[in-house]
Amino acid sequence: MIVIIHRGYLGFQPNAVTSDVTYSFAQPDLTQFIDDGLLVLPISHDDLNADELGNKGRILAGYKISNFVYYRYFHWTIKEGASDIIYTKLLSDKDESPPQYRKIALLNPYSRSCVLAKNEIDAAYLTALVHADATIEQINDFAQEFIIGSARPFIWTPMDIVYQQIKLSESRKSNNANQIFKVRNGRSRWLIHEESKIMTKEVIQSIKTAKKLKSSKQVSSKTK
Amino acid sequence: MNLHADRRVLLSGHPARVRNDGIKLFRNDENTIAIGISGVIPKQQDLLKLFVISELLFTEMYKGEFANRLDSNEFVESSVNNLDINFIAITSNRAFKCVEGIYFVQTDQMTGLGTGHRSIVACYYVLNDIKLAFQVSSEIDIMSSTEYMSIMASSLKPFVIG
Repeated sequence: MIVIIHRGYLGFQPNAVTSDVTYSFAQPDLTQFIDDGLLVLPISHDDLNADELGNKGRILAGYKISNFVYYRYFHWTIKEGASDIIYTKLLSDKDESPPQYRKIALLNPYSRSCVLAKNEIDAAYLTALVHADATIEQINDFAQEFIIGSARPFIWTPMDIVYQQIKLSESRKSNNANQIFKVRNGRSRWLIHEESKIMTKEVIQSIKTAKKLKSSKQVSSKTK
Repeated sequence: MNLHADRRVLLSGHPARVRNDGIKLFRNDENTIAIGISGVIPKQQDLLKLFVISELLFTEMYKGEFANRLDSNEFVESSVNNLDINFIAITSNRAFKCVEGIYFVQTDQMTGLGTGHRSIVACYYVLNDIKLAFQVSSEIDIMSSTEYMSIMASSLKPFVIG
């Protein structure tokens, strides 16, 4: 999946349909990726021990920044009135231990646009388009004409609307909300990455259920 | 089908030096073919070989024998592979690109070679102005400069077979 923030819009381009894609193309909007005050868009959900040719993301935020690391997710969280737009970067590719993630802010006062793409070539083209202040229609046309990513048009949503959607979902969050994405709960995060490559509402709910069962078992074993 | 190239070159040696007065576009003596080079600028004799190869390929192209790939000519392949040069060649109304010994006949879609060519292509797609495209591209690619040179297809004489 490719994610772009540009001209006050958040655009994402769904991948071609694969076995681990569960979102619906009938209504491919952002709401299916929003839950409990958190928007999660997968950039790269490939295996950790990837080869050199693929699975390398690149972040280009209007000026040259390139790191060949394994980017995983684009996050937009809203907590206590603050809004964080970040991506998580995998620091360790050793599968013996839970992966260590680092959060890096995407937008700052000097850069209000960014491109997150799994493929370096796609990222190069899109960064140039964003830097040349292309319209979202031009980006869609270019993606289809030059076969960028899945060659599909991007799905654009105004960022203020995305913010409202995330805010709305936060007000409905449960006590276990966002535990999944906290670093101290690395095991759960690892489970998520192993069991489902795409974060969907159903997966989040199943993980919450598993945690509840586990905690109830721990309580019953302590009382014996 | 015009040829454009920026003029930033990286000179070999240590420490490396970057200059903004390089030449990457060349015409043949008859002024019927122009070539743009990506990477190391070839020596004079190698450049002449490129023009000979281009003339052969354009002859075949004009004869209509090749659709969109020109990798069946063993003589040309071995010659160019030895040279290890990526280039784009144009006449007044045709063009092809050679990348790692494989030739691609170009249509009307913009294409490029070398570092930063994707930036140029994308910027030109938005701005529709080659000067602005090089200016914007140079902001995001350190190996591209605002200085550029062009060979317009209209400045070439018609390519005649034989």
